[in-house]
Amino acid sequence: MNRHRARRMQEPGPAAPRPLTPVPQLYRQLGQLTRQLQEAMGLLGALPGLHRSALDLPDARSRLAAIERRSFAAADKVLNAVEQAKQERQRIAVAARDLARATPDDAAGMRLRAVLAEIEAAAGRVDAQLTDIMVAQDFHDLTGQMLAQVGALAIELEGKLTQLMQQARLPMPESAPRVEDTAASQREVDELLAKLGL
Amino acid sequence: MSDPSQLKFLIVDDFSTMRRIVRGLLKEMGCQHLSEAEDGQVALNMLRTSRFDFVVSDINMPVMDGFALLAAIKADETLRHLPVLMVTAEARKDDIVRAAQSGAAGYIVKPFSKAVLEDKVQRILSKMGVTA
Repeated sequence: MNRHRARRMQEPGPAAPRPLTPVPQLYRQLGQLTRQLQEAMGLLGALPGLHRSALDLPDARSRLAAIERRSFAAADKVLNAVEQAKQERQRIAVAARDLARATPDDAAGMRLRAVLAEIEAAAGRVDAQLTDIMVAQDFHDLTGQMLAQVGALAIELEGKLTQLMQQARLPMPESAPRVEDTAASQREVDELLAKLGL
Repeated sequence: MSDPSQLKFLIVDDFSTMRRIVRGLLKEMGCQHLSEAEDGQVALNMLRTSRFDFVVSDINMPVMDGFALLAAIKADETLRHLPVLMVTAEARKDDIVRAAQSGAAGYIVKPFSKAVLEDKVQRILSKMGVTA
């Protein structure tokens, strides 16, 4: 404390004397105010970024839903193909067995029977592989559950960000998912190209 | 009953892909009477209106989950004899203990192989006195 300041503190002024805040407490209060100001400034700086994130979330959820739809369609397609292939395999195995029974017992017939037995055995191995392919489609169930969890998290996050936007009086994010900006099929691509005159 | 092909199975899972897989595997095991339900409530309604011999149920499902279905089956005098094989994507120990204590006949963790499903079903069928 310098001399002049010490004198001012000791000399009574024209107004009634007021109790002065001790200096260490003043510094603490100033420090507290500075921290609060920094936090507020940080929040204001982060808000535009959070706002962009809130605006992007409906689109992110829409893409998650598209992944789920496409993985379901892929698994469904594979299962259909596996079921048809299994039926074909069954027909081949039965035909090979029937033909082997009808084959004469001469040398040529014995050679043919050996080939038919190999065909039937191979058909059995193909069936086991088809079963493996069928069981492997359970990825859709497992990834679907994970996607659902991530989707739920996105909804929760979107809600909290929307609340923050309301408090900060920023424009609200869209409540409905955006319209997909990509064509879903070659037909859609061709239709769009046709509209553009190509 | 001595022939598994005569038994009526109910497959309960909210994912149709999984129902098709379980159906396909049971079919390969010689089971012919296979029905499906997409959640526990639909399954319970089916069990109360038609005769079934075996239930294969997922745990995580909307409306009514596998544990609630198991509890409802075991609480019902006319259904409690039914063996329920639980199938789940999560192998949490407390879930396994809960399933066992609630009266589940078996517990399978996804992803599973044909051999695992076959083994579990056969064990339960043996206890029921059914031979393949």
